Amino acid sequence: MILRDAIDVSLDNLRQARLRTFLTTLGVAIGVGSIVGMLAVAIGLQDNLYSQLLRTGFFRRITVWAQGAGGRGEQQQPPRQIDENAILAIRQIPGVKLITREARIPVRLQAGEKTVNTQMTGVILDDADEAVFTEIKQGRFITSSEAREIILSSQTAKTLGFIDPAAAVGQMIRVRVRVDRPGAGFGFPVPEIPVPEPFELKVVGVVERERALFGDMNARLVYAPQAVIEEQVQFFQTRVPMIMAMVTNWAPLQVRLNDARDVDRVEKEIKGLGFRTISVSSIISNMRRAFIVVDMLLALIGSMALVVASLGIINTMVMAVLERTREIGVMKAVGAEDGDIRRIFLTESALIGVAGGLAGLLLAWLLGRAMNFGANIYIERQGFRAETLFHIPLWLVAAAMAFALGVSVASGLYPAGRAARIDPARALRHD
Amino acid sequence: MDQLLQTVNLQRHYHMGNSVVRALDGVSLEMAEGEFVALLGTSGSGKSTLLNLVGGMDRPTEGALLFRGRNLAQFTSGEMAAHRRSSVGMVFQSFNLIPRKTALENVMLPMIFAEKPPGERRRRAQELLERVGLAGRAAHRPAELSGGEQQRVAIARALANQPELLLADELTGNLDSRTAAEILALLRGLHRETGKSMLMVTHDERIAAVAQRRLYLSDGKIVSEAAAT
Repeated sequence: MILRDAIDVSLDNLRQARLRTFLTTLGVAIGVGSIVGMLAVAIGLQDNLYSQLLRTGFFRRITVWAQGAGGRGEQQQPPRQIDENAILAIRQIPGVKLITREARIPVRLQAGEKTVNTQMTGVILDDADEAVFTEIKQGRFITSSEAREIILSSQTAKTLGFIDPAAAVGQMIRVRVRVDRPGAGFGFPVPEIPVPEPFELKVVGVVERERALFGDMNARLVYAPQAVIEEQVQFFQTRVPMIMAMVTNWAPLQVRLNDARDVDRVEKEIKGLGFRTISVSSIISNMRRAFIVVDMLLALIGSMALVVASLGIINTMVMAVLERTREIGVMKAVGAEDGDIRRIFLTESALIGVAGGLAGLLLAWLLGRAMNFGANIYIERQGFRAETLFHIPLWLVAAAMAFALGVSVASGLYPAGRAARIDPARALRHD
Repeated sequence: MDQLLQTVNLQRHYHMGNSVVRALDGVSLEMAEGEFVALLGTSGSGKSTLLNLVGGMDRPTEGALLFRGRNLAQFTSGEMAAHRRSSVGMVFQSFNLIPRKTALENVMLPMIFAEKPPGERRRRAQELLERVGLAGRAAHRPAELSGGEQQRVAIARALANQPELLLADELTGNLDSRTAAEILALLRGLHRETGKSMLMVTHDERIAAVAQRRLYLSDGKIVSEAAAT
């Protein structure tokens, strides 16, 4: 029996029991729909997260830390500090564009009578593509890496008395570096550390920083051009070189690359030099690992519906075999082989699987569209940008169809085997 | 004439609870190519059991059943299907047409399993329906046909793959006497024209009269034989 005939005969059989075929197919559709729906939401949310991370511009950046002695009880590598030699070595790695030392100094800001203690960190023009600056609410980013400018966070702006953060833009802020004397208060005699003169910076922007997982600190962080920070660091380096060498050699470096695609390679090379590194790509690969577990769990829950659908197929097909016993007898009497009969019934369950799979994909897609629509109304009302929360990638379509086909054919195996074993003489006995 | 069929001490036993029913109890017969033979017997004589064995629908318990010298008792299930498909064609008392298929589709069915190309199937089925006098009824379903017409479709179907032997099991059992006579005339005509071998089972002497030779079965054994008068 050729395949085309098997399909013709099967379609004809399915048409004979329209309602039953429809209900069984609907079962498969719901099963496939629930798997695809669950995974599509998970994938959509994950894609969303990744793309937000991608937008941060962190992708072309690797943060490098000094490696302490015996970090995890391993003695393979000597402690490695970030000294001038280290910076030279990293600079020679192909793909590296720029290296800055992450400088974060404690400062006291003053506007009129109000003051606030916080930390100030250096930024360069390249950082303009970071999310926190692309979504800047008031004002703008710094104009150059040397400009005498400052970007406040909305929280520091408020503490400084600017109830409306927009009012801070254009104001002059007085900045004084705070020096905590080490050991002070414990009764140790400590050298007097000189303090640089306070200076003024002009507010050019105010960023909205969400309260981070790590507490309040990031919400109060303010930004000044890298050169402004380095000027202050320089002051201490000339006055108290010993202390500064200790401090700076343990401060992390920001290594910026020309191309995001080099991140993995360059990160590996820097690690090879004996430093600890972190990049968004390594964060993402960790996240991916966690999400795979979540995706698998969701798929498992969705599969339950398909298991039930598979029982439906078995039931339908067993019924069909019982009903068509005589017809199977006739087909065998005119020369059908056991394999022909098996093929007819397997084709029937496969057709149910394919139809159910297609309908399930459609169902999931419609549901997803509706969910996207509904969720985005809420999201936009909250003042955020509309997002795609539901995404069915091509591989999911292919996997769902293959799964539906596999499950339905597997469900058809028992009924088809039973049909193939029917004894024609007994089936046609006319009493 | 060449030998077509030979059985040697053919036995078919059924288990009914703890007892054994010997439906066939040592049948030995021969049939030449081109012969028209009738098997006569009362119900339970074993004639239908014998027909099923010859038709490859069932397997003997013991003995040999040679078709063109090959022993059906040793056939694999695939060989049995091939035998049913192309060596023999069966006609039943209750027609056994597929109700939702048209006359044409019913006649085409054996050719689907023989993997004949669709065009050829249609052409041959049309020819056969013409031959049995149903050219105008090709698109009708069994329920729209009379008993006689249904049996004609069944005969056309039995001939679809050009079998060497036509087997008929009480083919007029469900028909009135006038229709029965027409069907028998059709069978006799086919035999005369094509010389096709035919083996017919019946309990009715008058029907068996169309055959060239009659074999009488009783309790699973051939008890007597008679040539056509």
